[in-house]
Amino acid sequence: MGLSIAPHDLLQLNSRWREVEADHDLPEWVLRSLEHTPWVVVRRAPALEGQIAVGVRGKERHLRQALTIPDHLVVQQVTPEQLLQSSLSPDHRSIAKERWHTMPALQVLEQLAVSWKSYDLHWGPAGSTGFELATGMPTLTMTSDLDIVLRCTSFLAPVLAEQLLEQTLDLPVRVDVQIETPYGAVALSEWARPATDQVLMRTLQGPLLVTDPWNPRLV
Amino acid sequence: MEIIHLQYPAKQTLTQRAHIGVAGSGDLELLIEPSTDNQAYIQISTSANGFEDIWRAVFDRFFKIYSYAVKIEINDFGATPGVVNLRLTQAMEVLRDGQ
Repeated sequence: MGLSIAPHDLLQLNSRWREVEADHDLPEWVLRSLEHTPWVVVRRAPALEGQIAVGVRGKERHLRQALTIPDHLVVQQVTPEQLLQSSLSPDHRSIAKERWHTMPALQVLEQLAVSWKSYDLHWGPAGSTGFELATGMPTLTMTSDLDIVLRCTSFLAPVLAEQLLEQTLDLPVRVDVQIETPYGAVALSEWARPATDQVLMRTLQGPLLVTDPWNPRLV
Repeated sequence: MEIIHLQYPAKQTLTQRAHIGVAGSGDLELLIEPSTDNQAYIQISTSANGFEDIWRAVFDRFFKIYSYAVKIEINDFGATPGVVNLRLTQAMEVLRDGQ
């Protein structure tokens, strides 16, 4: 299929998703969950050619299942950036107006879109907000955090990181921004205010401490 | 949600406080401050139940080597062992610099 797939992308699966049962010993809730909403989220983990490492969400927070699926099961791919674009134009919103009025995470998303508007950024919602926006399934709760993916192909100056971080603080819900560099992800809060001269970067090969997330010295 | 308390005798005093890590899913934050009574106190609040033995083993080993009189508060949001390890490495660096 030749998809360019990145962690946090949401994938809709076709009805052949049951194939995965053959390769995995899956708990009952995973099958129920996919039956109900055949969507998965791309994980940051290595996968063989033609395979994608994904996660399945359960109803409860602690229910998460890691899987590897063949890419021919994917019928639709939605990125966090696409979710932001469609949620900014009220005509294209996939979920009920009432959810936008009641869910704090969605209100904070709207607020953040306004405060970050003046910057030239590529970003969008992930986590439960992204899942609800992509699938239309009520996933958010009144206390859900807002997870954000901020794509930075080149160096993000710590001064700018601090400005962006400040606009995520003191909002009705906690905002968790992950900066995606070409090598992996670092938390915006850590890059803006590092405790030591190194920050933790999540990579396909696992977590690493790096000085510069855009120029990591990989072993 | 589980809260684990650990305590160790300690000698070396520190002067500074530190905040390491991130309060976000798959990560953890460590809040470190000096302790005044020759003891080290560790409090771990974790979303992953059933790992007390592992946390204890990690800090038993740590305080066998180091003897910092500190209060460490850990808020764990389901960090993987790899992430825990790197956050402790960072903590160690901060403690060493703060002697």
